[in-house]
Amino acid sequence: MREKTIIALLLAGGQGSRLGVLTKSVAKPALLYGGKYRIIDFSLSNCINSGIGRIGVLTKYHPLLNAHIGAWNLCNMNRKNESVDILSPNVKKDSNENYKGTANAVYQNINYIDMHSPRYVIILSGDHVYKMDYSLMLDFHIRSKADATISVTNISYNEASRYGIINCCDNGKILEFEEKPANPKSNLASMGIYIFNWDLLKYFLQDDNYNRFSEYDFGRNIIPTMLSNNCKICAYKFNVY
Amino acid sequence: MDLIKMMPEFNLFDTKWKIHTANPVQHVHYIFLENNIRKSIVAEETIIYGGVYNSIIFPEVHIGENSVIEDSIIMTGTKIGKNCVIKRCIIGEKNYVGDNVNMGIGRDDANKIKPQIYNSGITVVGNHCIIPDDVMIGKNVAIDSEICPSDFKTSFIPSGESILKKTAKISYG
Repeated sequence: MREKTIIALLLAGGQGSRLGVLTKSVAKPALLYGGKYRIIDFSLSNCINSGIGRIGVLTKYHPLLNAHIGAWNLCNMNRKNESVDILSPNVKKDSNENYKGTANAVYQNINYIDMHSPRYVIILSGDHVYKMDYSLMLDFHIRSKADATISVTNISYNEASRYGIINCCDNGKILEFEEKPANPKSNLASMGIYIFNWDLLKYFLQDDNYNRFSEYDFGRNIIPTMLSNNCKICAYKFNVY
Repeated sequence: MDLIKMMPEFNLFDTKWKIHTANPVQHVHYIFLENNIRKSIVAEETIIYGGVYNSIIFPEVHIGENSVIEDSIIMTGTKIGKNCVIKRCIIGEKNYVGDNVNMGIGRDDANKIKPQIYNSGITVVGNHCIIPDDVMIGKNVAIDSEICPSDFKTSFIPSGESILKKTAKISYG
């Protein structure tokens, strides 16, 4: 039943400038890792191992990445109701539109998500190497009756100004979200993994799309707007590698 | 390089949390000498005539006779010639390294162009490069993708230098 209630969206547009020449001609999620894997394999495997069978990969045209996901689909998604779909920017007749930000990438695929009528949407990064059971995060999200849940991890205060920093109270409810603050108030960093109630997220995405001054980003726009509208956003602490 | 520890913190061999990948059926690997591979991950379809120590070797890599790979990562489809010594290097996909090439030697100077990236003594080669025979390359050197022998002005590239291609790149993915 879980497959029908949640859909995973992987943001795989990262170029990875910090990896220098290795990612100059290859997208970061397509970079090789550990003998035979590509970095995107880890997020895709986490989805499969967590019981999420419907996955959309939001990416621009990267031939190697697209070919890899196609082969991955054939090798691992052989059951009914399971697939990995590549979601490229929506090219219209009169404009050659690209993804303008993480939130805009999801906005452009509202029809795809609605097609599967999920109750929850999990937003992931396609360029992280980690193991995580998203089903535990979803259980936490449902249990805490939140509108959105953000996965957070402890980092050192020295590094905190490089990340999205979460200030939350003891019961996990998020009070403030600061993107790369100069003077961080806590050391809880967002991992870029979000679970949203789809109906609510759709409303905020449509609202954000008409804001000319928006950067169309989850961390900079959607989450702060939700907080200012008194939505309940919880922090899910995750400390395993 | 934590992956090649006896019990790595991030274990790729964890059967309870399997990492799935696109898995084309590939040939077996071939190792010419006994005892010439130590503490390394070696993938399918590799042909190893030289020595591999403390390294990660991806599929379809060919390592020539008397070549030594140490503390390095060699990615898919790279061919390494004879009598090479490669220490603390990351070599990208589908590169060709000629014979008698020495990489990762000399002083530990940080890269002059991007010291924030290349400062740990590791030399990095992009994808689709051809490194000519008899070249010596230092530490913290960055070699761009699609570099060909004519881009090497001398046969000695000291530590901290970069070989960058100024022309527009073709994106492979």
